[in-house]
Amino acid sequence: MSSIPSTSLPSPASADAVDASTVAAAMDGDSQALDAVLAAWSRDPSVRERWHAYHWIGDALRSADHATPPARDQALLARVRQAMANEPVVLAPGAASGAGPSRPGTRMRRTGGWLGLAAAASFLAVVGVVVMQQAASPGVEGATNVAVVPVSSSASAPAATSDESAPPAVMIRNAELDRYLAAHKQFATTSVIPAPGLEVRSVSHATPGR
Amino acid sequence: MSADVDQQLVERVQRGDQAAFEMLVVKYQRRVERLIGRMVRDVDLVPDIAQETFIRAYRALPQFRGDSAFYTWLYRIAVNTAKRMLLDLKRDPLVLQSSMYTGEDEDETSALGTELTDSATPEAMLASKEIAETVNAAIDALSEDLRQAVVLREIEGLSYEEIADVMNCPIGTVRSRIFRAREAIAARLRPLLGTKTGERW
Repeated sequence: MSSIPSTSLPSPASADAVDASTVAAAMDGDSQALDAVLAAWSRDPSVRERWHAYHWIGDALRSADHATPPARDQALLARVRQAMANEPVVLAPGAASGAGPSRPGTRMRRTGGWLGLAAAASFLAVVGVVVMQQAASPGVEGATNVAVVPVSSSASAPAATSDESAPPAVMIRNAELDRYLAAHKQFATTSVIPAPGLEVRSVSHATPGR
Repeated sequence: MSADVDQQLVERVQRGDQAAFEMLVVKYQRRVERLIGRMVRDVDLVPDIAQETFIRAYRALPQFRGDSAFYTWLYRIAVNTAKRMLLDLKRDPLVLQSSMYTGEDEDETSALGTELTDSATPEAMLASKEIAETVNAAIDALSEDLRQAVVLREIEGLSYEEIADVMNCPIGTVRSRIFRAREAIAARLRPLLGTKTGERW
């Protein structure tokens, strides 16, 4: 196909106010499109189907593990929806009232209730690590041996990694590294606490997250 | 750009818009299920833990201040929820760890060895494989421009501006190519999955 002019093309969808291109734009950060999708969500099943399909496709492109039948997703959403119906509608407090003063390096504690994980996460964020997972061998699926390997010797890493808009680190499986880590056991922990925001990918090189 | 979307959706949820929360669920449910699946042996638990994760997130969202990215926060809830539920079920949350270190209970070890994990039943694997192949075929069937645009967006994570730069075209063209690529792939998947547009959503 030769290059296409940027004028709008006929929408493949029906005369719905929210068409496929709007859903696609919404998921990529277009605020107006997002508002349109939100407004149409409860009344237009095609909008819901597309929001799901496009995200599903994105996940499937990034990992074959994600090529699971969408019926599974539908079932989960239905159950969450039902449970939400039993919940009071959540509203954030009007004032930005204090969970206490925010100190650098401890911001994650304010999300409350996960202090253990937050502390570990803060540590991992501060030293700017990439978390490696040992290659899962047959029969030990589910065991997450997390080894922490510093990726940067720069002491200025904390400023970047404690930035909440930093892209999530990428967890990479690498047999060579696993052997290295096995030989350097002092870095290994046997807890299942992974660093936050990690996305597992089966690619052979690290790419910054979305 | 993704963090931007999440932030906007979170703000909407905090103003009472439940649809916004559903959108976040649909966006992250697969990733959440996968991370839970790596923590638990029993695949039957995954949907329950995932559901509980999202409910907990929904309840806690008023206190979410955006200090971390939404998915970072959601990730921690998922891990915590999985551990709690495993404990509640009186199962060892580190069941594999203990089996590795004790190895005393022969029956338990052999049962663990034969248990299938991560939806890896033959039927599920076949379905996943077929779906993955369909996605790959759909990608291959795209024109070069559409394929490059959607790959740069979804796999390389480039913004529309960056893609416009790389592909040397206007941003409007980027937007058009990405949506047409997504819709073309979705159109090929729908017959395979048996759900017509919007049928069960």
